[in-house]
Amino acid sequence: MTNPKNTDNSSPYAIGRTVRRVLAGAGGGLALFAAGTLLYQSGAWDKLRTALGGADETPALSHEAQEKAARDTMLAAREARKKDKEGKVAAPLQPVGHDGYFVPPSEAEIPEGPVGDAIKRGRDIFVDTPRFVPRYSGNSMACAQCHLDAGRRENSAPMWAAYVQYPKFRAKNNKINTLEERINGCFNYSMNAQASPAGKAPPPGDEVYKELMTYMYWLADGAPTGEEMRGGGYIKVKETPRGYDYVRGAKVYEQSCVLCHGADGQGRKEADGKVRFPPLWGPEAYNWGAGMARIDTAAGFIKANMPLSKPYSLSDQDAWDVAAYINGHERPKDPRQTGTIEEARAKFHKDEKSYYGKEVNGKVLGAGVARSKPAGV
Amino acid sequence: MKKTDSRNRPAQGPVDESFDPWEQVRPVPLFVLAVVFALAFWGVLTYISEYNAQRRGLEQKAEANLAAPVRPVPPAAVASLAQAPGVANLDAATLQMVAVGKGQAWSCASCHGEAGEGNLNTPRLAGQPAEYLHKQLQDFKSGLRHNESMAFVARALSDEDMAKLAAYYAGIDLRTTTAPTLGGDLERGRVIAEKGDWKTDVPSCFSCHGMSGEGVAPGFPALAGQKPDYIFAQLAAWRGGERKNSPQELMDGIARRMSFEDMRAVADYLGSLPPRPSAPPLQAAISTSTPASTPASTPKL
Repeated sequence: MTNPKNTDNSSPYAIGRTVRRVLAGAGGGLALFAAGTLLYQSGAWDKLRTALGGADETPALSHEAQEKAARDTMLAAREARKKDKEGKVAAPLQPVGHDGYFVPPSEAEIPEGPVGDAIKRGRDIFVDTPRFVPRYSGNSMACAQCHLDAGRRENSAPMWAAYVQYPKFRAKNNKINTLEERINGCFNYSMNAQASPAGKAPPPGDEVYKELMTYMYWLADGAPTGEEMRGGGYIKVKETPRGYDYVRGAKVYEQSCVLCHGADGQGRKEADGKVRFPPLWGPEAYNWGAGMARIDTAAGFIKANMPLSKPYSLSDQDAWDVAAYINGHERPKDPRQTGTIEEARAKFHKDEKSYYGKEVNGKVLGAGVARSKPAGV
Repeated sequence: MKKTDSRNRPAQGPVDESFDPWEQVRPVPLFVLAVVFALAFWGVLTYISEYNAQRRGLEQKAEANLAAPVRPVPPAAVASLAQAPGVANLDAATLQMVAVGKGQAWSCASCHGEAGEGNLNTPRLAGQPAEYLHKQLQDFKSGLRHNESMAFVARALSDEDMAKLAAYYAGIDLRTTTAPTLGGDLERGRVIAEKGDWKTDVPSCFSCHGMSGEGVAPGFPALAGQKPDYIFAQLAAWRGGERKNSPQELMDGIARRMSFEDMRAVADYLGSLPPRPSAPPLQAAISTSTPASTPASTPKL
């Protein structure tokens, strides 16, 4: 770059000086580069970016890695506390993911041996109830259809949050319920056990309960007993000024639900007849006694979970209306009903938001609808 | 910059008293030199590390391809695609469209293969739900789904033609699988397909497309045995906003929340699955259970 003709010792362009300057520049460059690299590696840059609100699309640690780290930390703290003779090691904190929800153990953590076998059987029952408990299943529903991701999904009444709440007083039957009694309720109402081959829910002490409870116990590993956990149960959708209306809900259903659950609400089956999308009303759905038959419960489930892959996409109003539309259809009768519908309504459905015993489209709901043929098992 | 300075030197001749003699002595500041060098170091090192990463990636891919357990294609299917059940099940008019074409439009088989088996980025049609195929043809015709070739063909077809073709391809029972072509992580693909990634609202593929990826009529196409290149291309098209005919924009959102690695992984995995198994699917959602646990849970039946 320098012109040799101009190389005069007194000139600032003298070769010696140029070389020195270039070398100094290179040295400085190396130092700058090293400093920059150090700064970047130290994480200060990322912190600065996050501080300035530059949302990092790919966090350094994937959410899976964060969840695993949270569990590993909890397990390590548990081990350390076990070895600690003087009681000075802090108690392990509950494992929490990047979104602040409890992290249940991964399937890789299922232990070997009889406990692990029971966990796996419980999980199988949970995911495909009609297949693994055909004797006590009176419809096409499985636990995992309302408790998504095999009972792990937050705001979908996850099992890790439920487990630490029992035994518990329930107004539904006005007594202290053990977890087994609670699951018995699921069989009676959500699985409509009255229409099952056995004609009733599994008897007390049945293996089905033991396996389901073992699975739930395992999912709640590290969860604090008694705490109302974040993401437990279903969300409560705020009541809207317009209230709920099944006529408006029909439009929402048409737009957002028909694709999977069908215009007739009977869901979709695979080629071999296995239920892919659950029926929402009719003889194969939950009965009038199920929590999901209440419009507020269904609205909470729908708002936070439906349509699949698009949670919170429906407005509160739409969630209420579509829940009303779905629960404005006839379904299997409430097994507690012995006298008239009106008596059962006054006794069991008095203060709830449901259409039980009320007139919808000119017909009083609650009479129930039964399978035309016994469960084909 | 130095050149400019050297050009200025002869201009020194007629001395201008007001001219600042120090004007010419303005070497490139040391700091600028340092920055230039720093950037150069950065560039060279980045180039080297990228180059190495790419080479390692290619090597790993080659190894993976060697080691990948490719499911053997049933010999019967290899012997003759034309003998797959359902291939001969068509009337003269449909045969004309499938094998020869209609009017100016070329035949289906010229791209999708003689049994609708597909090729690379051309999708497999055999065994897809008829309603799904019919809707895609309508969407190509209306322009809702973009593809120049298919738009041309679809415009030559009447709605009745479409229904017939859809029913014909839906009825072909072809059990061929496709070996992975994208170098995706098959285990990761299995996890996405069977369990999904709930935390990013990517449900498992199977939760809608059937527990064996066999498709669920009317809306959800079969994925098992589909061409990996095609699956990947469609996911990328949804992500980029090129394909927009997914009902309720479900796939648009799902694809946008997937990484490209996951797309490759799941495309390769799905392609390697056998389509429409004759036996009822076995516990696909919960396949991590050991074989021993399954029989143990069945005696209750």
